[in-house]
Amino acid sequence: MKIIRPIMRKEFIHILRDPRTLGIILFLPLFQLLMFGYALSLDINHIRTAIYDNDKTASSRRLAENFSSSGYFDVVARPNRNDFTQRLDSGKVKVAIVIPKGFEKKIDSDDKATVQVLVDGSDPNFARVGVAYSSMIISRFSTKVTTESLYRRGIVIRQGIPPIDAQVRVWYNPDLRSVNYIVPGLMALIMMTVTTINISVALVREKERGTLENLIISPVRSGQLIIGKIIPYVIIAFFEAALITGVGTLWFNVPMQGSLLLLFGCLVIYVTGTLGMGLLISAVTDSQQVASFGAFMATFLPAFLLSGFVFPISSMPWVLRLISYLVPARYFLVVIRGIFLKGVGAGVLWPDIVALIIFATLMVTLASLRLRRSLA
Amino acid sequence: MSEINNNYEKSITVNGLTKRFDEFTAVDNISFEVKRGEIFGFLGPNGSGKSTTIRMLCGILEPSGGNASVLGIDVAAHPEEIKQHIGYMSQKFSLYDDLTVIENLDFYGGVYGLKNDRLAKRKDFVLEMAGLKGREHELAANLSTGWKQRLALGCAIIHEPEMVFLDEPTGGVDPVSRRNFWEMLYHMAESGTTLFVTTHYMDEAEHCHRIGFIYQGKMIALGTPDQLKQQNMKGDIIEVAIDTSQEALQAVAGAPGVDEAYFYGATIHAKVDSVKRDVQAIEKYLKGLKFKGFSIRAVQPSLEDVFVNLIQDIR
Repeated sequence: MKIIRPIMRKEFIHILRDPRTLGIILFLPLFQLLMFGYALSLDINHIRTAIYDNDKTASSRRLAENFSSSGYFDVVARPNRNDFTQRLDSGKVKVAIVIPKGFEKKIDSDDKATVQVLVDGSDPNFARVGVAYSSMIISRFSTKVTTESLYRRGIVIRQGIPPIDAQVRVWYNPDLRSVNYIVPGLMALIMMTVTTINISVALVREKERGTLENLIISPVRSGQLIIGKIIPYVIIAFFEAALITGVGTLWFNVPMQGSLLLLFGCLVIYVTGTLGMGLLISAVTDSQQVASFGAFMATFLPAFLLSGFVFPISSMPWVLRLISYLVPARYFLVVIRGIFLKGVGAGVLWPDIVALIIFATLMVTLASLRLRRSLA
Repeated sequence: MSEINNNYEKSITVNGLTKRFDEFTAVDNISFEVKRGEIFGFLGPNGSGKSTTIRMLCGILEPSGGNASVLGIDVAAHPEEIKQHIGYMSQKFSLYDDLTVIENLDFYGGVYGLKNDRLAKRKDFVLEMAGLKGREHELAANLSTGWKQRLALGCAIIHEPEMVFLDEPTGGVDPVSRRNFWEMLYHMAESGTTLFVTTHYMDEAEHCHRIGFIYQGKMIALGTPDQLKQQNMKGDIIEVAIDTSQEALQAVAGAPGVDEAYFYGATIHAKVDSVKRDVQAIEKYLKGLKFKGFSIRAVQPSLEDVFVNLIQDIR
């Protein structure tokens, strides 16, 4: 321990005296958080829509009204000409609702009326939501029409139409706000990239300066060296986590349901593992550029793509699903979302916590073995 | 703290030390001893096995064969113990540029487990020795090369090691600083510290008490500078003050009685069997080739002459 302390102190001086490192550590997370928090919204509403009302009757206007008041569709045009091809092509609208002439007449004469919904499928996610919302609006409208028509004929259906009502309750994130899902995930991502890149650059710099050679010849053991280097970054990760939690809860109104203590405990394990990985990367590389690029590739990409951050693991092909088990962010995401949104504790999260512990132990051990060999 | 056997007489004892990397033999069965308080110069071209030998002696590289002990401790059996008692300074000086003079010393002191009174005392000693008093709070980055070198030496000896390895410690340093630096080394040796120095500078090699010359992994000469000059020189050295063109070199090399000719500073040195017998013939030969205004004189062989000839003999 007495040997670890001077290493920690020195590492802190490096960080605090280099304005670039300090800037990356303080502002990059905040910047990433705000950028992703706003830009990476998966909530789809305000879909630009054109309604082609060729019927111009009370019924057709009611249907159009249902669209514009739904909150999902912004009716930006009600053209008189059927120029939907042009509007969809140019991207001016994403959805075109075409109500044919004779719409009301068909309803009144118990004939089957049709409404055409044209959706821009070039963004499938967007299209899926557009299709779902418009089907929902039209089906509600037709239920209403049926009920009214039966009522006019003196038939009252007490249980309502349709006879079965689905009682849906969304738990944990009842408003389905995607920011609640994104912000805790961002913590896993930001924590990993910022600290890992910095630590691997710091170690390679010691190689380049030749100071590592001196440390290897000194009585410092590689394990002590690694712990002494990791601890300052873990402390920095703490501050970043606090910052992200603060901005997330106060600015983005993400609920924090669980134990902060558990969150920060798991954070230490997670960050220790990724820092160990950063050291391992720099133990096998000789230039700062390669180290920072390697650290970025090894952390950000897998954490972004294969962790379940936005893309669900369960819908990946089996090869990627298998690889995702090697991505520590995968486990930390389960933990952090569990704590933030569900408020669950270690009793539920233990399998993922154990996985994080295994990862951290493995990385620190490998880094220390590799470091010992790298100079000898 | 490990127990160091204070009864050792030799700071380094090396016997048949060998290091193989796959097919390549970097250090090939070398043997030598270094006495306590001695400045031992370890010389050889790049890639001859110098660094590999130092690494084995510092306990960070396991020998493939033979044995070596440093301060009475076997390097293969107790590498970690050796680390406590040796200092190491490399050509790169290994300082942290963004740390101040005193922070560098604090760090290296801390790494060697020094604290409180002892650390304060040693820092004081080192600052005094290196002449860095009053510059404690300057960043290492702002020191000139000569000062960096002295600070690096200070960091290497902050824990009062009995044995210091210096790997090309004067590379890139101006002549005045080099002289000062060697003064410091002499002082250390006088107070009983053993120094193991590698260098490229032959004038520095002359300062060493004893020298080992390693070439292609083999120790090809060992002794005091005087011994080396006497024992390893068969024949005499003449200095030809001519010009430093390839033409002149080829002319001298082709002159009668010349075994070997090579540039030596602004002159050409040549090895001949006997000065008395050959000088006139060489003069005549060069004049015959229309060289003018040159002079030839016999010189005492320098270490460089010795090594050039040793290497030529092997080739």
